[in-house]
Amino acid sequence: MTVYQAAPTPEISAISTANFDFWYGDFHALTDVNLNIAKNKITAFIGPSGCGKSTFLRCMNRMNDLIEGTRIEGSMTLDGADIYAEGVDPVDLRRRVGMIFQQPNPFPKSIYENVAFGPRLQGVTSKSDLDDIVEESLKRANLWKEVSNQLSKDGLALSGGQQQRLCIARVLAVQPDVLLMDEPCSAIDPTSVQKVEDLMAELAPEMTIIIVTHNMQQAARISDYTAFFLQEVAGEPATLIEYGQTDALFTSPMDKRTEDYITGRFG
Amino acid sequence: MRKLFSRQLVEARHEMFSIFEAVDLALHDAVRAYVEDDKKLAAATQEATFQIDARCANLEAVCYNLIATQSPVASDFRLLQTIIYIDFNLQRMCDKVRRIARAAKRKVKNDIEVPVEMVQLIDAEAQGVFRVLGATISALVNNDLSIVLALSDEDEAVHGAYQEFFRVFNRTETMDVADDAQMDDFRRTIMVSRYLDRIASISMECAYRLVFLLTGQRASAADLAEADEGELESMRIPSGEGVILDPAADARYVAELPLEEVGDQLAALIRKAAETTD
Amino acid sequence: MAINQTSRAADEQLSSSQRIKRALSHGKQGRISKNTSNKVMLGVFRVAAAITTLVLVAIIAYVVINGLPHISPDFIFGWPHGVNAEGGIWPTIVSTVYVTALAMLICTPIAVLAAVYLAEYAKQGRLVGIIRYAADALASVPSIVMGLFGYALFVEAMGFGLSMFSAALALALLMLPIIMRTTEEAIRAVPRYIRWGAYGLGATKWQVVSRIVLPSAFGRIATGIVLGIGRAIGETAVVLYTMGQAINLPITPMDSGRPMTVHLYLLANDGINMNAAYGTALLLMIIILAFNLFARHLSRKSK
Repeated sequence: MTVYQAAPTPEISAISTANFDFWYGDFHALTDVNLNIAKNKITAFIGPSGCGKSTFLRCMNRMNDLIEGTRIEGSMTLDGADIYAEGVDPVDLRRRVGMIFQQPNPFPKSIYENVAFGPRLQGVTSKSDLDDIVEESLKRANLWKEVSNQLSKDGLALSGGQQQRLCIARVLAVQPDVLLMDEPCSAIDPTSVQKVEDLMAELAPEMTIIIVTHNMQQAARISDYTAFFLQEVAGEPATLIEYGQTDALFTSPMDKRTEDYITGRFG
Repeated sequence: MRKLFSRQLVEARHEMFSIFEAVDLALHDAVRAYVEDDKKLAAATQEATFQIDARCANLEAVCYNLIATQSPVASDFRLLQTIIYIDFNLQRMCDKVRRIARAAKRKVKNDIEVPVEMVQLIDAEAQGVFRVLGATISALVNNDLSIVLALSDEDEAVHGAYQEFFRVFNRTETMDVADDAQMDDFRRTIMVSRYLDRIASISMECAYRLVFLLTGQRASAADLAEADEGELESMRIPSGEGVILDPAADARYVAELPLEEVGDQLAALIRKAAETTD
Repeated sequence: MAINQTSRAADEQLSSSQRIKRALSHGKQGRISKNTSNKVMLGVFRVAAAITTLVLVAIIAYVVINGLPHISPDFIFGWPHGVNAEGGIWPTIVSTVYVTALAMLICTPIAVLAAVYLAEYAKQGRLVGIIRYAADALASVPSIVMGLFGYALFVEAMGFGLSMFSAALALALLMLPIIMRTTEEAIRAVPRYIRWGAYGLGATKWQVVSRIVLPSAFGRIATGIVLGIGRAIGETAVVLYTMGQAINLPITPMDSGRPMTVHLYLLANDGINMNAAYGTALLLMIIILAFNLFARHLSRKSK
């Protein structure tokens, strides 16, 4: 029988987890997540609120380390190396695995300083180098045309959508391998959403992008792979329910729970 | 939002069955008009096919509108794709029915003598086509993949009748044909057999879409020829059972079909539906 | 009874939404109409607001009317003479500014660093709660007690004598909780999203605090400092015990002096020269008002 779906697991994976569990203190938030994130593709995490998808995303750059009392079990690797191994500096990891948040969060500094912040942390001090990095990053984030003549303007003076692209430019400035996006479009207007989505599509060929979204159409539009998380019983840990190519998952989900969630028949 | 959408999906599904029923009944009439040389019935049937065309166009518009406004996914999306596909094929079948009705009209008008043996053959072929249509509708209403697999045998019978018809036609002595115009009329008259054959194959294609609706896999006729029922059943995925798939409700929309032509299961559902409405 | 029953029967025929509509339209009327009570309460609120404003205006007007005629360049920049009741008040202005600036220099680094520790580094728990509570309690210690403590510790025990330095240390104690708490609030008010952004770029904790959090919170921290200074300038009891009363233009921190508030107190207490007292009061008010306006300006700018 002809099967028109590709294998659900990608051949080259950027991030892989095996039997991954996560706790906030005593609260067991995630259990038994086994996932291979395709390299240089866009992967979407979907699921209802509180299903652990954002938590899982923050595990990927150890952002959860900032919260006291969190711990993990199982393994998570980036390009084959365990990111929770002893001796791995989360600070270095976060440079390689950049993150965009729901709320555009430019620093209260000029546009230029926002983008130059990361490179400066890496010890880049030469003015001409910084100029190049800022221009290049803003160009990659499709923001250069709009702000090139007002680089000294406060980043907070930009519109919400522009702020979000500024945040993307800021992350691009440190040349990450992976870009984590936690609901990047939920606080900006529809036109800006399209710009951010276009930008993701442009970046994807050379960067692994993982996006958490509540917008099913957005996941269907922009991602190559989709993972569905669900906390079935309140108080019990959430887990990965279904993972596969986006086309397949949105046309013919294998699991009843996925079907019910994406069609909106949930609950 | 979801409630309204579910209702719209179910309504579209019911309309598809209702049109299917109308095509099936129109085909019965067209064949009867042909066999019995009933010019009035032929004209009425031809008129009915135009109404069916309009309903098909409307259903198509409704489905595209739902796709544009509701961004359907999963089983909702597969259902809409299936309805659009079947709706399109119903239009093709309807066109063939109209040609049969026209042939019946022409046959009476021009007083074309078709040998009795050949008319009987057409009648026999039509009985086979009715069974294919009945089986297709049964499969779609009951979401029964086993009927889909058995359909190719039914179609084989129709195809055999079609070939037989032309074998007989070739053996028949050439009739007296006054001119080319009369020859044209005659040719169109005997093409009814060809139309019936096409209707059966189009109906089969509709039935094959059930596999996509229920498994998400696009299977060709060749694929299905090799597949066995167990394998096909194991590929089933959630398809909106109890929300948009409801055989008992669907059966009401095909209740006028001759019960002997539909499967036992559907016949039972239709009888039950009739009891509850009485 | 019979009527009741029929009406209940009628009730059952009505749908719930109809019953709700009927209940809403037949609600019990109060003895005083809604409009009247609304107007009465509005009047009460207006009177309360008017009293508050009037008191402030009355005080300011009283001081201005009595003090303004006495203010002149000679009064501001001149030296006192006679029994220190005549002439100008220049040394007291210098003493006040001197001691306040010194107190600020001592207090601000400690308060800000403590606040950064509390808000960013300390494990949030009992200990931090106790420290915060202690700071609040320190802020509510009566200033006369703080003055006595300053006298015992700085003037006597540590031997700094009645001096600018002793007074500045005592004032720093007074300002410490104010600045620390406002700084802590300012640091906490920096959105976590902004911190996450910096962490996400591979910043260490210290880089986040020094390059993002403190600059972001600067406006509010500065506001806190200015408010603390305003409080210190107007303070009487603390400086009375720790700075002395000598009319003196302080040069070194170990010099003694007489701040404006003490000068005002002495003038008014003895009733020697009420005009000079009002003039001093007016100048003091103007300085404090200036600091408050400056604080407002800073907090507006930081938004």
